[in-house]
Amino acid sequence: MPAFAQSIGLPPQNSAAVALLVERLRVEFPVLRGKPKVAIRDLDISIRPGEILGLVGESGAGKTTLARAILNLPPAPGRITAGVVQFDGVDLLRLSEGELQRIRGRDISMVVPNPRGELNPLVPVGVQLASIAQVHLDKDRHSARAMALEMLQAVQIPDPERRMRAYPHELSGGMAQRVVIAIALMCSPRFIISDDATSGLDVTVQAQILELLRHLVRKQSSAMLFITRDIGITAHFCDRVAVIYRGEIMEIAPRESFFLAPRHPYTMLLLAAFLHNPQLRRAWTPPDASVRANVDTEIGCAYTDRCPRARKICQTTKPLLAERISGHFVRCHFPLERE
Amino acid sequence: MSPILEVEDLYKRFPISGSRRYVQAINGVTFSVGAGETLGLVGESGSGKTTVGRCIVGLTELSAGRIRFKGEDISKPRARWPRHLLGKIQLVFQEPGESLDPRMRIGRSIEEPLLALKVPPSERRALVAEAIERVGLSREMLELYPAELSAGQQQRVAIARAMITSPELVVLDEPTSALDPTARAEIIALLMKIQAELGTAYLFISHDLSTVRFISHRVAVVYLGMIVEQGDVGEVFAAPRHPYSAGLLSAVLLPHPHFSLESSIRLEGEIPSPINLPQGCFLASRCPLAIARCRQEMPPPDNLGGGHMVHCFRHRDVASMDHASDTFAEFQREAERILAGQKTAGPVCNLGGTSNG
Amino acid sequence: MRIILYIGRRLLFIVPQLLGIVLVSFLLVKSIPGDPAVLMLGPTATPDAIASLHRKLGLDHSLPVQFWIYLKNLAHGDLGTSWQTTRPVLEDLIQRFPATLELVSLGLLLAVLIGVPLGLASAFNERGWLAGIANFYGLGAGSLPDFWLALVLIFIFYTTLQWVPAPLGRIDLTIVPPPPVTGVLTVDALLAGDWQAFRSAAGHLVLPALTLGLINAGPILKMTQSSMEKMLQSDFSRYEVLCGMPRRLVVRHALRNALPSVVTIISVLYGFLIGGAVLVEIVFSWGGAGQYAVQGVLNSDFYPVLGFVLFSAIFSLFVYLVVDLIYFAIDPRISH
Repeated sequence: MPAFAQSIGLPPQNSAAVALLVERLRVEFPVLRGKPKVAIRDLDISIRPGEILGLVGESGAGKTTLARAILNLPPAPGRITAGVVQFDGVDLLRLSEGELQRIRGRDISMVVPNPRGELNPLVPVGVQLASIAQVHLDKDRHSARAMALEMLQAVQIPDPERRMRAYPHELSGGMAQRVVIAIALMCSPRFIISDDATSGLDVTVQAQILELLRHLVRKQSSAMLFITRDIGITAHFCDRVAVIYRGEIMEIAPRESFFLAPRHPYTMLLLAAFLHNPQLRRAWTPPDASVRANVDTEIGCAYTDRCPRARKICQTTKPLLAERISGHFVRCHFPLERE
Repeated sequence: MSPILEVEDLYKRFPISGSRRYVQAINGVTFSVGAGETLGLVGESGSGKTTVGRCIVGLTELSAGRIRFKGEDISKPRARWPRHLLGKIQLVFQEPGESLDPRMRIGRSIEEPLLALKVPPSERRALVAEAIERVGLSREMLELYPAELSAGQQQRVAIARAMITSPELVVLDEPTSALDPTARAEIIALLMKIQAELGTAYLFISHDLSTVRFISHRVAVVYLGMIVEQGDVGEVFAAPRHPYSAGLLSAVLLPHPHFSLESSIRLEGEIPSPINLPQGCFLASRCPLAIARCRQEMPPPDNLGGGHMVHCFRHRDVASMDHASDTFAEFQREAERILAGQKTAGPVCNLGGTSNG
Repeated sequence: MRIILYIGRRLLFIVPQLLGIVLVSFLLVKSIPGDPAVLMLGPTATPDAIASLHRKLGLDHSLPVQFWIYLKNLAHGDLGTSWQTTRPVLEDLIQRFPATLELVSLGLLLAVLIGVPLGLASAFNERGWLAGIANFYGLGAGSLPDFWLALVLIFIFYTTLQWVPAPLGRIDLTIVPPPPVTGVLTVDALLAGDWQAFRSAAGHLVLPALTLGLINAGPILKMTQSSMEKMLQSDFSRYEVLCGMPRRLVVRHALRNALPSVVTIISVLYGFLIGGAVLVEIVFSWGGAGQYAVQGVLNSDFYPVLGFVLFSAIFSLFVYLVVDLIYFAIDPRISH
C-alpha cells in the first residue's frame, strides 16, 4: 500500500483549535466598463492543526486565487474586497506589507506548480534555500547553508552537496519540485498551501512527492491546504475534501463521507468523469447542455446551468452550504439524499 | 483481428548538436494494432512514446526497423508514402490550441487534410459538415476562430480534422492531458463513440493510466524507448508482470479511499537519461527486484500467452509478490453504485486488498 | 575552461565573418554609380586620359580580379589610398576612428547614465510621476532627429550662453594638439599632462556627446523599464514575494535577470553609432570616421568606404564578444 494512503490518522476532531480560518472571503477582478468578475465569493473554510484539507476544482474555479489570497497576494489585477483570513489570532488581510513579509515563507508557506519557472534562474538552488533561512530565521551565512543542505537531504534529493550548487535549469521537474518543497518546509511553517504541486509530474514521481510531503507535514504537525485538479489524489492524501466551483465551495466533508456518500451534483459529475462511464456522466449532465440558463450567480446557484437537478428556485435563491450529516456540508437545494 | 499496423524492431536516435552523442529515444519497439482496436501506449515523460507515434505517422524518420500498414511498408517520411495511404493514418496532438492555426477559421482547419487528397470542393463542404456534427459541434462553429472555442471544443475540432479523411488508424498523442476532468471525459466518450460507429483503430498515447484502462483493449508499457510489457489491458492492470508496470500502476490514485492499486514493488528515483543508456535492463537501477544478471544483460521478451509479453528475468517473482486482482473493475462497480445514489456495500474493508506486504 | 574554448571558437570565426563583410560591401560600393576617374580629372578630361587613369587605378580589371587585388593588399595592411585626401586610408582611419570612438563612447556612457536609472525608477513605480516623465522622455527621444537637437544645443549653449567653444572640430585651432598616442585627444592630453589642451578638447566634446547621450538614452530607458517590469512580474519574483523575501532582495534578483537585455541594447547602439553618429559629426565638424566614409560615398572614393566598413565591423565584433562574455558571467544557463 502506498505509504501516504496508509491509515492517515484523522486530526483531533474535538480540538477547537483552528490553524487557519477563512471567512466570507471575496476576491474580484475588475472588468473594463462592467461589473467586476467575482473569482472567490464569500468563501468560508477552517483548517485544524495537523489536518490536510483537499480542494478540488477545474481550471478557472478560483483555486490559485484562493491560495494566493490567503497570503494576501491575489493574482493581479484581482483585489480582495471583503473577508477575514485569521491566522494565529490576527487577520492577515489587515497586516502591513512588512508584517506579511515576516509571515510568508516562515509561518505560512506555499508549494507552487511548475517549479522550474518559479525558481530564480540565475541563482544556485542552495543559495535560494539558504536565503530563506537567513531572512526568516536570522541565521548567518554558514548555518543557513548547513540548514539548506539538511533540507535537501530531508526531501531526498540524491547527491545534495552537488545539488546545492546546481541552477534550476539543471534539475528535472521532480527534483525542482523537491527543492520547492524544501523551501516551503525550511522554517517549519504551521500552515502550508500546496497549489497543484504535483500536476506536471509523472505518476511514480508524484507518488514519491506526495509521500514526502505527507511525512514532513505530519512530522512538523503543520496543517495543509492541498489544491488539485485530480480528485483521485484527495481520496488517499487528505483528511477532508472540498469541491470548489466558480469561487464557491459546493461540498466539503471528511474523506470517507465525501467519497462513500457524495451529495452534490457537481461532485457526482467529477466522479463520473473519472469512470468514463457515458451513462452515468449523462445522468449528471443536463439533458440539453447547449442551452445555458443565464443565471446571476450573485443571487442564484453558480452550478445551475450545468445541473441536471436545477429548478426555478436554483436561479433565484443561492443555496447555503448546509450541514447534512456531521461534518458533511453541501451547497445545493436538491442534493442526493442518502439514508 | 488481423493487424492493420505492424511495428517491428523500431529504433530512433537523435543526434545532439555539438557532440557526437545521441538521444536514444526508441530502442527496439515491436507491436501491432488490429483493425478497430485501441492500443494504449503508456509511459512517463521521456519514455519515447510520443516519438513512436510520430514515426508511425511519418513525421519523424526512423533510424532502424520497419513499419507496415496493411502489409505496405510505411517506414519512410509521409511525403514518400504510396498515394492511396494518405489520409488513412491521422494524428491528434496534445495541445489543440497549438495544432490549430489561430488565423484560420474552424471550417478551413477541418477541411485541410482534404486539400492534399485533391477532393473536389463540392464534396469537401459536405464532408466538413458531417465531420463537425460527428464530434458534437454545430455547423455555425465552422465560421469561428480557434480562440473563440474552449479547450475541449478545440480538441473536438482537432478530432474532426483527423476523422475527415475516414482514417483507419488514428494516433492520439495525449489528447486529453491538457483538459479538465469533465472535458476529458467528454472527449474520451466521443472517441469511443466514433470507434463504435466507424471502426477506427486507435493508438492512444498517454501517461494517464486510468483513462487508458477505460479506453484501450490492449496496453503497451513503455520505459526508456522499450516496451517492457504488453498485453490485454484487463490482464496487465490486474496482474502486471513487469516491476515497472506494477510500480506505475501502484501510483494510480483512484477516487475512493478504500481502493488502491497497491503493489509491494516501489520504484525509487526517476527515469534515467536516454543519452547514456544503462547496461542490462533499463530499470535495474530503480528496481527493488534487480539481481546481478539484470545489470549485465537485457532480458529477452517472454511470451506468457494470449499476447501477453514481458521483458523481465524475474516476472514470475513479480507475479507471486502480488495477488492478481482487478481492483479497477471492483472500484468501478463500487463507484457506479455510489454514483447511482445507492447505498454502498456497507463499511467496505479494502476490497482491493491485494497487498501481502 | 569552457569560456576559453568559446572565445577561441569565436575568434576563429572572425576571419570568415570579416571576409564575408568585405565581399558584400565591396560589391555594394562598386555598384554605386559614379566614376572616380571622371571626378578626379574634372569635366574637361579626354577619354584617353580617363582610360589611362582607369588602368592606373586598376579599374580596367574585372570585378573578381579587383576584389582579389584588394584582398591581397589588405593582407599586407594596405587599405588603398583615398584620392580626396591623397593619403593611405589606413593612416586616415587611424587618425579619425579614435575621434568617432571618443565621441560615441562618451555619448553612450551619458545615455546609460540617463537611461538606466530613469528606466529602473519608472519600473519600480509604474504609475508614479517618474514613470510619467520616463514615458514622455522615451517618446520624445525616439522622435527627435539628433542633428536638430545638436543645433538647438549649439544655439543655447554656444550662441546664447557662450558656455562652450564653437562647434568647429575637436580642439581650439589656437591650441597645439598633444602628441598622438591613442588618437583620443582628451586621453592624449592627459598623458602629455597638457591641461590647456585637455580643457579645450573636453569643452568641444561636451555638446556632441550630450546630443548623442540625450537621444540614445531613449531606447536604453525603454528597454530597462520594460525588461525590469517583466522581471518584477515574473514567476520567480512573485514566488520570492510569496516566500516573504524582502523587497530589496527581490529587486536585486530581478535586476540581474533584466541586465542581459539592457547590455544587448547598449551593444547594438554602440555598433550602430560608429556610423550612425555621422550627422552629429557633421554638425560639429568633428572630422570623424563616419564623416570620412560619407565623403567617400559621395565622391566615388571607394577605399575610405571599404576601410570604414572593415574598421567598424571589427569594432562591432569586438563589442559583441565582450557582450557574450558578460552574458557568460551573468547567466549560468549559457556558461554550463
